[in-house]
Amino acid sequence: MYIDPGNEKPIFLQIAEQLEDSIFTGLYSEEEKIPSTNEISSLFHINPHTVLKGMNLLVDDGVIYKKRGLGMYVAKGAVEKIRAKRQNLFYDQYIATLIDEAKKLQLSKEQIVKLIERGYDNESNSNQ
Amino acid sequence: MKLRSLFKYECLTIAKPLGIFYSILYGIVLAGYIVDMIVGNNSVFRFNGVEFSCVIFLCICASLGFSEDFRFLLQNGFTRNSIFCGTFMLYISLSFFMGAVDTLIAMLLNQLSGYRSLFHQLYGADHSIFLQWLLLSCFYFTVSAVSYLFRLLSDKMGHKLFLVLMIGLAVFFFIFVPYFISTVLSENAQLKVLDFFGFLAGFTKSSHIHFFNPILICIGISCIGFLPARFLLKKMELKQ
Amino acid sequence: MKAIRINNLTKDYKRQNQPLRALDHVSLNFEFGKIYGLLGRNGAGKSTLINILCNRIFATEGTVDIDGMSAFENPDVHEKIYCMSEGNLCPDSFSVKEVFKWTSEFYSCFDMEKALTLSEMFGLNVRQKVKKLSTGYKSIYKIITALSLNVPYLIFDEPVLGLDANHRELFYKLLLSDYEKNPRTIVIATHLIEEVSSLIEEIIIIDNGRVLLSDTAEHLLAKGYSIAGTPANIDAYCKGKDVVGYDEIAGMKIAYILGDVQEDAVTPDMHISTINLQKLFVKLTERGGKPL
Repeated sequence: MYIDPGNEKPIFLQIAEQLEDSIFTGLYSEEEKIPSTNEISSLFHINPHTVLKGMNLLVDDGVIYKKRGLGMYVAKGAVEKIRAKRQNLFYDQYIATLIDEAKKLQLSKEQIVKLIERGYDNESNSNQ
Repeated sequence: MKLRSLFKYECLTIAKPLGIFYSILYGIVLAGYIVDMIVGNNSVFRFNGVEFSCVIFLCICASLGFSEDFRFLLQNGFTRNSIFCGTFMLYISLSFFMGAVDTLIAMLLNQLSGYRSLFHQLYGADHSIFLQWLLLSCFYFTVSAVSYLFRLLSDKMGHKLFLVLMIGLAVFFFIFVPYFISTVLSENAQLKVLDFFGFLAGFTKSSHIHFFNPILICIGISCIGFLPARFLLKKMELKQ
Repeated sequence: MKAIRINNLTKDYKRQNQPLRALDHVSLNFEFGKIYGLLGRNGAGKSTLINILCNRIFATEGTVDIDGMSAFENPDVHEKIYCMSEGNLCPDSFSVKEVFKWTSEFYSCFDMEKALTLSEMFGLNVRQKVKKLSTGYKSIYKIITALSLNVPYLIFDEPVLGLDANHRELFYKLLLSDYEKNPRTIVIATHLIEEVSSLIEEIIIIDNGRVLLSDTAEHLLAKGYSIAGTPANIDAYCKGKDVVGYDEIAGMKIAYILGDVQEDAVTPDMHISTINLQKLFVKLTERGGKPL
């Protein structure tokens, strides 16, 4: 996990995203405790209120929940929730940007589709 | 109460320098007596520097110790009012303590070898030890008050201007005034002046000594020292 | 109600012929429970402000209240505020342990055990005389003293002067974990902007004795952006905007702006990115900027 204060994204957003990543990739399993605001704040020298704000985003999404006096825990079904959310955002985050860049590079739709196919082919080749 | 802590601080930080000072001072006195005894002189060893040395010590205390203490106490949240009260209490305690030490030792030395302290030389050795202690303590207190005032004035005026003032005062009191008294005044007037100083020191026409006078003078001068000192301290800022 | 309230504070110094105004009608609040960054260049007035808060020097005009009580010559605010500052204010002959001992004597909220533990963590020999410490360790013993005092308003004036990277990290770590266990007001006055930018919740920028801006870190960084493009386009874009400053290199001009991006005025050749606190600060204070 790494927080970049120089990054465009506000710190609380970076925290939310990275925690979400850790949960999505299975670093923290469901019903497992995630690092406390104290730990994250201490490690990255970030104001605790900022850390809490990031965590609250995940609470709002239903990805984590608070156990009184104990800390934050990964919610049941968190991985599914994250997947669904990211699928929804996939178009805006990746496709729209891709098309934008493609236009700048003057790549046609067909060329893009060919590139995507190449990507999938390469993957299946390296899997063999 | 924080004032108690402040007073404890003042006392403990003066204890070491005071201890060293007295060790040296009475070490010299003791060494002198021992040498005297070894050499076998019948003449009484005369050391007249005790009170004078104590005066020097008090002056140095008031001037050198001041800014370190002021800064440290301000740093620790004390108001200037508290700092003044603490300093005032220190000087009272110090004066009476040093007065006691010097009076007792003087008494002892007087019995052992006829040593005569400043008090003995002025007023004779057959007055109550309480009076000796009181007068000496008031004298030390006066010295502290004046030194403290001078220290604060020096800070306020700047060292150069203060030096000019001191030189001016010294010239006035030690050169001009005696010159004036001895040359300008008539013999009658000179006698009157001497009488007046005698009166201030407590001497009267009869052989009875009014100790009340010198004590009152000391208290008066101390007030003249401490009251403006308090005013100056209230306005004092920490220098970076 | 719990806050340090600074109202119209002015400080003038008399210098040979010309009076020097170190603080110019400064008004701001330090609310209880937040971490503030008091950012300013060397000579901006940070230390002057702090010295007035701690009753070390006097204001020419204006008032300072701590939790509703005047900070001026008031023994009641003794255990409410503590300032750790650059200069050495303890007697030269004192050892670090003696400083701790007297601080413990003067403040009932001083934790001696914590001070000794922290000294060990920093590798500070408490028996060492203060005047013999290196610059870094002179700062260290002072920050340990401050961190061991449980006062509601804690002020640090350039706390990490001379500290190596490891010690700086340790300091920030300790500061934050202390703050989490025991929320109180912490004010860090510094010119090391980037280091503290993610620590602080509220930012106050002071320059030439005036408050240039006072805002939450989040808000400030969110409403600031930089836009780069051809000089002509940028100049056109910047009309009517709150521009903090410019940078210019061959053929390209970058404007630093506070406010919202005007989407319809952005041309394809322009590039927008976020602004970091240090850049914002430098631009604001470059030419003695005017208050925002």
